[in-house]
Amino acid sequence: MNGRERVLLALDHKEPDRVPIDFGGLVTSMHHMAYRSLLEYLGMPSESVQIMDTFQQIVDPAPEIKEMFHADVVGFFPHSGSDYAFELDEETDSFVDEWGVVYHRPPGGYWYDLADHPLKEGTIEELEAFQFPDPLDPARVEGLGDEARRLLEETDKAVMIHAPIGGVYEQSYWVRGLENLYRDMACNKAYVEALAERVLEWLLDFWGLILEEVGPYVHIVELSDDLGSQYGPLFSPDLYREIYKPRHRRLAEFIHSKTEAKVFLHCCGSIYWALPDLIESGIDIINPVQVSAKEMDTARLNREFGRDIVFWGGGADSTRVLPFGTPEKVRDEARRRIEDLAPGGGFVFGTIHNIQAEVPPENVVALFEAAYEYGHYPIGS
Amino acid sequence: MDLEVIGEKVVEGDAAAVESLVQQALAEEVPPLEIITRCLLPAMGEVGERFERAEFFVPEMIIASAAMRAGLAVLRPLVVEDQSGAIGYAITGTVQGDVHDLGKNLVGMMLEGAGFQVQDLGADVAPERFVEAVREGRTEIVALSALMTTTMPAMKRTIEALEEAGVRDGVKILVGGAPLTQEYCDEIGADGYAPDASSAVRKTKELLGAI
Repeated sequence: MNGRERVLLALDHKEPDRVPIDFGGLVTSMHHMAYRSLLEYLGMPSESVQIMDTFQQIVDPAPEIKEMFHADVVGFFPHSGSDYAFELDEETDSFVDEWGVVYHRPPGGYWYDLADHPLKEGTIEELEAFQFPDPLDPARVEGLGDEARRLLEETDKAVMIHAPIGGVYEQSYWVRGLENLYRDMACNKAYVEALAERVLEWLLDFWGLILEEVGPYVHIVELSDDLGSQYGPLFSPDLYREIYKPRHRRLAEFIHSKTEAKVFLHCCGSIYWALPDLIESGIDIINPVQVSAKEMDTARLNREFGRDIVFWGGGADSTRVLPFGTPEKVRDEARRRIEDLAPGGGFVFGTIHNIQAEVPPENVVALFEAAYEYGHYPIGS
Repeated sequence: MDLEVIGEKVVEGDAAAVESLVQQALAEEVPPLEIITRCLLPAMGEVGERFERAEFFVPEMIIASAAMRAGLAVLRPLVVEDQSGAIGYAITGTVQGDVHDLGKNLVGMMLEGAGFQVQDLGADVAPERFVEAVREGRTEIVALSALMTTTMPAMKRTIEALEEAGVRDGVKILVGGAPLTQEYCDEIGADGYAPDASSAVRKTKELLGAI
């Protein structure tokens, strides 16, 4: 059984030969420092490491590392619009994205943080006058269909297209600022909804353009919208259900109308409360299954939602065990999560978000060794 | 006038209404300290309780805190320092290398809402800056925030700096932020851990009771 067959069976809620593994994607890769440590640990040269995503400072791991970790997924990105050229201001260590959002890395920091946002006033007038980048810019898909077809034809992995921007909620706060958007939520709901609608319209146009080109060649479409804190909803579930849920549904329905691919939603935090809503909205796959957050008990998640949604991630507690545990603890943790989530299929093993800078290489190796070793079906045999 | 309305407007997060009602109460010669202790502080207590009952979330806390601050801004200059009704003195800051301050700001505002006088050092604060601030003031509590596993070690370095400067024992240290745990708090020798802004207030009162 090859990686693609394995992933597709899992996405169909069937048990493949072993639990498929995702490693090296936009939210399943490694910080370049952790990656360099890994290469050194493995006795491999680490000079020519390329950053895949500036914001998160993560890498596209080398093919031999992906093979070593039994990765079953390959991914690719849509391109930027033709008017945009990435430029790092080295003096301030900051850059601006296509939407006018400013990112800055504090001295000694491991990655970039959102530092400034174009929508300052939070008025409908400002929103209407604000120029979003052109979602239909043909530069976004130049050569993209060929790239996707090549991945389909020349690899035996599942093919995933990554989300270059956040979802309806996330992109709202990227352009407006988190604290500002929260203030709007509490006292200017009409504005929050107007902003969400404009972001959704952008996403519909954008995915329409992209999927026209790559729709037949991809198995998974990645979206991202964090809804949880460590302890529960980031904002009121009523507001989510009123403003964001219907737009998640419209976006998922649209993507499903354009491709056979499954819709993957990266959604951090404690989101047990939102899972029935996300399932209703047409989300097929939920990531990263942040097990350290409240109410994210993996056995219960699989029992209650395992037939209706695929869990992708969940590999090991990334706030305690992966950075601070021993390799043995990491193995135990990986095994436990597999035993909880793998039975019945519907599980793709991955790290819970990108592996951060100071995670010891021994733990990274132990994690993926355990994923392979304990991941063979029937689980627990 | 009905002073209770001031508290209601704080809970609703209506800063403009709080400000004008406070002015009105002052015009009717209600003592400023009474407005703080009878209206603003109990209202923030109510906000904390609603947060704990999951009726309020971060957005509601942000606007309620801002409304309370609008009231305090009018009243503070009118009360003499020693009669400000402050029940304690706190320093807040996000540790070095970490620029995230939303959670830390909420802790600061909830502490203010509970009657503490709060000095905020901001985000990405060097250990030496905490030491300096503790030396300068009458700090009883130092509240450290970190959002990331990768910046948590800066909490440890901050505590070590306070120890080296010989000012550690005069204060209680509270830690919080998404990746924090009670175990990590114990490991780095902090005095208390609070998972959110509302419990930070409770924990602070508990710690100061123990001083």
